[in-house]
Amino acid sequence: MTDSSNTASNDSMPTPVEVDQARAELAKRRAASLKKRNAAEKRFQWAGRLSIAFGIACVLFLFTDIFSKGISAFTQTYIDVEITFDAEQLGLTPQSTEKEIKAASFGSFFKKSLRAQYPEITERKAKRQLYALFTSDMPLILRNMVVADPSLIGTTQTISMIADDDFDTYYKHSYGKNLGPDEKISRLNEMQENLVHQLVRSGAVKKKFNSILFTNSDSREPELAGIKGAIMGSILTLFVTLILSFPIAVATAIYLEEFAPTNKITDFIEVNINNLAAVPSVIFGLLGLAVFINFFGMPRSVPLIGGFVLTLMTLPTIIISSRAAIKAVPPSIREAALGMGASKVQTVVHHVLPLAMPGMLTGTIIGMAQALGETAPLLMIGMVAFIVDAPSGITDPATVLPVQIFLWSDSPERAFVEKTSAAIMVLLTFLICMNSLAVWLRKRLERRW
Amino acid sequence: MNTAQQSMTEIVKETYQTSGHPLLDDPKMRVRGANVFYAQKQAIFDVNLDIGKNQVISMIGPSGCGKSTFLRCLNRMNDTIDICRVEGQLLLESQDIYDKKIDVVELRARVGMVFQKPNPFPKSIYENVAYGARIHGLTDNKVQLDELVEKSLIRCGLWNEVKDRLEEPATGLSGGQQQRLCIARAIAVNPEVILMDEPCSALDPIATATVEELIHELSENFTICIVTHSMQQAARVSQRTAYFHLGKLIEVNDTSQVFTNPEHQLTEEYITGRIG
Repeated sequence: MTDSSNTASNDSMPTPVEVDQARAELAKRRAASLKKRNAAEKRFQWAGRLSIAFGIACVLFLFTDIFSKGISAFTQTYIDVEITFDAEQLGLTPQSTEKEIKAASFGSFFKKSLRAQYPEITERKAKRQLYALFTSDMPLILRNMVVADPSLIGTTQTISMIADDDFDTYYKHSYGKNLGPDEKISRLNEMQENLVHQLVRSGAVKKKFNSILFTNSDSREPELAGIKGAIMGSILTLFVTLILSFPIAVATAIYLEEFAPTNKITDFIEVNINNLAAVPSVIFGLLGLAVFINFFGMPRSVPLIGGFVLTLMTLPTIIISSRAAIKAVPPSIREAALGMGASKVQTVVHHVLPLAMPGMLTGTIIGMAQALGETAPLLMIGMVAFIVDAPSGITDPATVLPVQIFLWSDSPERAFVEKTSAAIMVLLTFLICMNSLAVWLRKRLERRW
Repeated sequence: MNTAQQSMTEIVKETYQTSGHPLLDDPKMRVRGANVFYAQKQAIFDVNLDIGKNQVISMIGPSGCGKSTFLRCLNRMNDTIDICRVEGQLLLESQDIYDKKIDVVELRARVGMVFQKPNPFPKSIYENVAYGARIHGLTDNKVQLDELVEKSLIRCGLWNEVKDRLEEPATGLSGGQQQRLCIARAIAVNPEVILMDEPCSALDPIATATVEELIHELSENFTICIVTHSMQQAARVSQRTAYFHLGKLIEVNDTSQVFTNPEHQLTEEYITGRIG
């Protein structure tokens, strides 16, 4: 009688000695299994820690990469040049009207002024290379300065001129560094490089905060390209999305949770909502193209249609999280309200909605963040166009931040590489802000019951 | 009703008769031939019972005997359960409460309810008591509403404890205070009947004693139906006691008689602790 001492099929009662023996045996087994269990627990914890570490490492790698590439886009090289707004040369006086100023030839004036600074440059090709160190919009910028302040005419001013992207890239990445010919990032020729050296030595070259990035919209010239248009486009698109998707999703969630009977139809709807959440976003773009643009003949490339498409895309997300939030409201609250004689709608509006609101808002913000980062469906409806003006309304052609990133990442100019990373940084900042807002709102509005 | 259920009901009708005195003259509520089904399953079998005016009637019985289900029929709280179906005649002052013309909102204003777990709204103490008056439009202005809130809280013996913190969340009160608040909330709309579904089962003995005392006082002006698991409680607070067993109303009698000299064998077995 060894192993069977603890089975019920025993006929006679075991003696105290036998019981002790059996217990000692069990203790041994327990000790052995305990060791195994503890080891398994440790392994599991370590697996968890490793996966978290892997995740953090990936995010860190991504962020460092983007940051190191994009940080230089937040500065821009300027060249101080002394310019005399010669009245005779421009054919203007301080009393000239705006129309006259606009008609004046600032292009040749700009070139003449530059040539005056460098009398030693006489060859035609060399002159062109000199002009190329400055952004091609410089004459326009000068003209606008004079339009804004005609009293400049006849005076001599030191103007901070925007350097061309080739100058900018060379100055930021290669200048003053002992780099081999292969490592050097530069599209400047030797003469231009010498000019740059000369300018830097004279103290005329300055790096300043790149406000152009935030005040300009897209441009073919990297030094003039900014994300204002894309940000405006994103804001307008998200505005349309929010206005449409929040009420529709909340109404749907409330109806499905609180009013709809549970039957085959509601089951079918539920399955479909869950399916919609998993549909690739590009398909929503195709749908938008087919329905809104082709069938209803709405304009393409506009935030209104972008908002429609993103509404379709975010609806399932918001509906699902809103339903979860409504489900989480304890039934006792509903019973209390119904027991007081509140109608169904009063119960929902007075009691269920306030309690579910934090969850609903969190879901909405997460849906919005998803919409903010969405590119594919917007490509389908033409929000991928090259648009130089920032949109001022939801029916103006526009693009959005992620699409702008897509466009820039496709551009051949070296300077667009850093612009791309800078735009990603701005997008990530928006996303982090929105997600933090979601967390904060949830903490803030959450109530105990 | 399908045939299986019909025959079942027939059998029950034939085989059982409620002992004691389920019927009264001039009752507040009159229940005749009540059958309740959850989908195919019958939970209440042919109950005939009168609920006396300004009296406390307690419903006792083992778990799952249908006493809560029966209670929830009296203000149609069972309507919220999709699969629940109620048959028979349930009258409040000779008005059929399951009549199509009856608005359930109006009914629940007349037949209030207090639940097992204190369930104040996650709002201020004041808002909790004022809620019924607000939704039913019982007061004209803030002064009247303040008065009503104060009166209701005084009635429930809660006024002195909460008068300085009316704007604080009701969920911050203790369990017993919360339950008294729920009673205050219920009586604020001045219902004719108050249904209480094990109102003390989540409370400690001291809070229970306070609530029981309150029930006793309220019975002067309100008709009260209380479901309870505690036979002592039934004995303390009620004038009449109804014993339910497996969905059937076995015996109804004066409380003193039920606990001293039960007529039916099942009642006796329950109160002596042999079933339960």
